[in-house]
Amino acid sequence: MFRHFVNGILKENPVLVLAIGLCPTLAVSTSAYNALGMGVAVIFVLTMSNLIVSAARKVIPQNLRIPIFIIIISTFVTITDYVMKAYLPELAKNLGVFVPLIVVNCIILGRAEGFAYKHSVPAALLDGLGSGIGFTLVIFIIGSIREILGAGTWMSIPGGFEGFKVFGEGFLNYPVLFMILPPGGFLVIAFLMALSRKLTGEA
Amino acid sequence: MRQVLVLFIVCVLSAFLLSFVYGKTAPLIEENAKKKIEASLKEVFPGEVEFKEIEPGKLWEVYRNGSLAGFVYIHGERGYSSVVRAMVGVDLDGKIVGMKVPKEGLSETPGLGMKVTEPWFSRQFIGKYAEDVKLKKDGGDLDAITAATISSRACVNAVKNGYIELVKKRLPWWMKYIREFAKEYGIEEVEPGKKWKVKDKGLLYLGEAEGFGGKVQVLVLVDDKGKIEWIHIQRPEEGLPETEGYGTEVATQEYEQRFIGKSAANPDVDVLTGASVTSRAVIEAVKEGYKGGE
Repeated sequence: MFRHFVNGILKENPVLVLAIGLCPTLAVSTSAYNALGMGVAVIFVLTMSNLIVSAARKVIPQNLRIPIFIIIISTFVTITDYVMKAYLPELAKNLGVFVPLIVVNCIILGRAEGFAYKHSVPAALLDGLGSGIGFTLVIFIIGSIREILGAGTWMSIPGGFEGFKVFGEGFLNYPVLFMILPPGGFLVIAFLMALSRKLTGEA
Repeated sequence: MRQVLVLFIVCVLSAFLLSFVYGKTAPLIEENAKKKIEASLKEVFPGEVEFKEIEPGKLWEVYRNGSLAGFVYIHGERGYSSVVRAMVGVDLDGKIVGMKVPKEGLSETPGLGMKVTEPWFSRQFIGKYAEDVKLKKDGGDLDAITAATISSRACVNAVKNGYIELVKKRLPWWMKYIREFAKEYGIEEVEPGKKWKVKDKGLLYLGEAEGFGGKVQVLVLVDDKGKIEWIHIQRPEEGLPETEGYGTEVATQEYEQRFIGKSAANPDVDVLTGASVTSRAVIEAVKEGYKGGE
């Protein structure tokens, strides 16, 4: 049972191994805090939708499953969106359209269709948590690397904490801007993928 | 049949859940939005002031101690890859007291065009007349952002055109004359919107009296002996509420000329035939405004 949890983080990591959900991964990983916010939102939606889909899998008709998955997922996404706007307005502003876009995140629909619909509730729950945490870890690492190199800070929170100044004051004026632009995202993701291949011994 | 029922139940459950969450969070979301606007208004128009929304999301009137002290407006112009909006606070002279470029909806090139949101860029607008802002490149005195001229220019144009489109038409007609005096001689406000001291010239005042169709206003400059040196009678295009072809005949340079050199306390100027009510109102306005002068 526990391997369902670990699978999502390592062997079937959504971003590094399955290479799905790349759009939000690239778009919001410009800072560690944004990435973390996105990750937590995805963990919530993924776990809840996996849970509900698995619990209701016996009553969901085969040929209606996709629309029903989408309704379930979008319900939780909308809840996340409301809650974030109400309690973390700055984060909601930074993530912008990528919160509502979680609806079409392949990771979530993929787990609902590929796993939760065929497995028991506890297994689906662990799988959701695992995949979500796997996604969050990767996006958080990407966000951290991009923020440290591209802005010179780490974990800066808009309208709050200024962030750790990793390279000192001088670097803040002339950071490697390239890293927070889209190409920087691709580059970091590529290096991480290569690294994970190396470590898992697949290349 | 069963399929329809399942889909229906799923939708109903979803709707119930969402309306519950929405009910809980909506007031908070609204409050956040309000707080944010309030905070940015305060940022561009600091001090002990109150804001009154005139055009939703575009124009606010600013009141200090109950009297109109200026405006805050938001206006956008096409930039490099998005619309650059400027939020500007101006006083009644059209002088900028604060300016910022909100990040929402702005997607210029990061590191280049995005720099229009930086404080050093917006700070240089303060103290300038919103109508005359220009980049150095265009013959003005504002620094553009290096390698982001289009975004910088869009921002400057947003400030300028927003002022012309939203604020200018709401300013009292005499504002532009006050501004001319201020530029040429330097003025000092004695009574807001009523009396000004013009350096080395005398006293400038606004007088008004009931005419045929409403209030007739005049702007008068008197020397320290109470003699009229300069007068401007409100023109029809400046809102003179009198009858076209009759009452409006007084609003000419020729009629104004007759006041020059007369005593403001009691100007003996002829009443124009066919515009007697309006002429009397003008004379009355000259007297009324001077009352309580030196």
